[in-house]
Amino acid sequence: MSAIASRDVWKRYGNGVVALRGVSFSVERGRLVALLGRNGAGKTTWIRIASTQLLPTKGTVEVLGFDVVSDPWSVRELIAMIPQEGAPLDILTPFEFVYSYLLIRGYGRSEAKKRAREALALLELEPYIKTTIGELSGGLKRRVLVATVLASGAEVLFLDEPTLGLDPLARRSVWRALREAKKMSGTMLLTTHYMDEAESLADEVIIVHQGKVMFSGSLEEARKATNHRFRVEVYGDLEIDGYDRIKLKGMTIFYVGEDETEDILKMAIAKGYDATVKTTSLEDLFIKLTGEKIEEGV
Amino acid sequence: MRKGFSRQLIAILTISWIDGVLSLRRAPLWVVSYLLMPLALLFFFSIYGNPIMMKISIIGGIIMIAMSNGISILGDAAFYRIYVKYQDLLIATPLRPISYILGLSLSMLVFASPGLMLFLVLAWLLSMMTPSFTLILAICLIMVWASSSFMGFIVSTLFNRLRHVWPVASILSLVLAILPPVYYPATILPQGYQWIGALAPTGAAAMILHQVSGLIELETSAIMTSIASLIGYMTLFVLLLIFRARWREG
Repeated sequence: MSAIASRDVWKRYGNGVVALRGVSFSVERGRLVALLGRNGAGKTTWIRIASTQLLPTKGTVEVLGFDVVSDPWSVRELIAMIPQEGAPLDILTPFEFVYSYLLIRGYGRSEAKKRAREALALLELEPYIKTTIGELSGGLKRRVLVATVLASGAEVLFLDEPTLGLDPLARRSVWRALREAKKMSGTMLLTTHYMDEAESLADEVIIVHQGKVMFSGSLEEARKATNHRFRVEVYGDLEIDGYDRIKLKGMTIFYVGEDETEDILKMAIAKGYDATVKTTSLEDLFIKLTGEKIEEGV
Repeated sequence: MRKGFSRQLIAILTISWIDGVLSLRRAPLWVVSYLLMPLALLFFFSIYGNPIMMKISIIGGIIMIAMSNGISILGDAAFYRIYVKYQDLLIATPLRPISYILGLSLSMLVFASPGLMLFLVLAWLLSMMTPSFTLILAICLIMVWASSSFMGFIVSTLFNRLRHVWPVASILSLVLAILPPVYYPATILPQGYQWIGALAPTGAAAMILHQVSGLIELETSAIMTSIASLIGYMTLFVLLLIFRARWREG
């Protein structure tokens, strides 16, 4: 049985916007999966459906075998979720926030205290345990949220853009927290529009574009799917016989092997265009599948 | 791991602890802010009014504190749902929506408690706290608090922008405390029309308390309307709450 199974999920909002168009994928237990896509791709809509906050128009999502529509209370026993742009309550200390969340979930006082202390220690939040959250940085606040869901012991964790709006240092501190969380948690699904985040954390990626799943597989499979080792970006319109190209906002992109990079660079320079060579990454799979760069949607 | 009713009860108390007790301890200025209006009116009546008006302003203060703190759930509920997404965090837990609302409502009562204590001491000093008055006061207070906090929560669900929420709580507080006969006797309303004062739950509670304390003599229709109004509002808001208190959006 999959930890998460999404089958042909559609969502049409009241204003006519279709956010999801038949999203299907499954996630095995114990995996950390990144749902990757630009803003407006449908990631948050899907995660809100899966975490029982929103009804789908059509289709089903099952979490550990329980249907999120017909059996939401069974699902809520098994999941914990960090909402996009969510923040812990400013007026509490990290300990009070995590502890109260655990009491609300049904833990007894002594167990809740123990779990709260352990989770905060794991995320290196012990020095701030008695500081009110309002005095903490954005990165520390997100770590408090990660500690909160981690302490819950929920079998499936949903994290909606856990590093959105954070500076690079704060993002890395949250990544460290998530890596620790990964060791303890059963299954995690996070949404992100940061390629590096998905590459750094995930076992598998699911690329979503305009409400559809464009790719689903391991990072290794994603890298192989680009077929080539290098990406040559030419800042101009360049056409070369025998080479497939992608035109992207005044730029021409070629995916090639090592031997061919030199030829393309020479031709670009001959035409007076600047050009750069990069090793291929997850971003290239995204460009190949969608014809767009992910950052442009941010 | 707790299950069932005991889990929900602990959740209600926990929410009221964080949103009421801890918030009150760390931001005590809120108590001063909601006490300003009732104390200002009490000051005004103590200088320009007679002993009856003084007692009316004490009853008015008690009702206003209970109501304005109940209504202020509007701001908290909207803040938790729209701004910090605390409600979303809690949806993905076994917490029932009605427990969440009751927890927030209870926290409003916690917030109101210092102000209520002050006005109850004043009522006691003026020898108002007879057994019958105390009993009726307790019932009226609970109904005003419950009606206004349930109303506040329901109204909060109508907004998706926090900026629009803040003024609504202030407007509702003033409308419910000043327009109905909370700070004036319903007997100044035209003969045969005193019942109009009971159309708001605050006016209804005040009219009953004015009558029980012997400050005024109301028409029978006004007394009956007041009782029906309090019970009616309470029932209406509980039913609306049951209807609206759903975690999931369509």
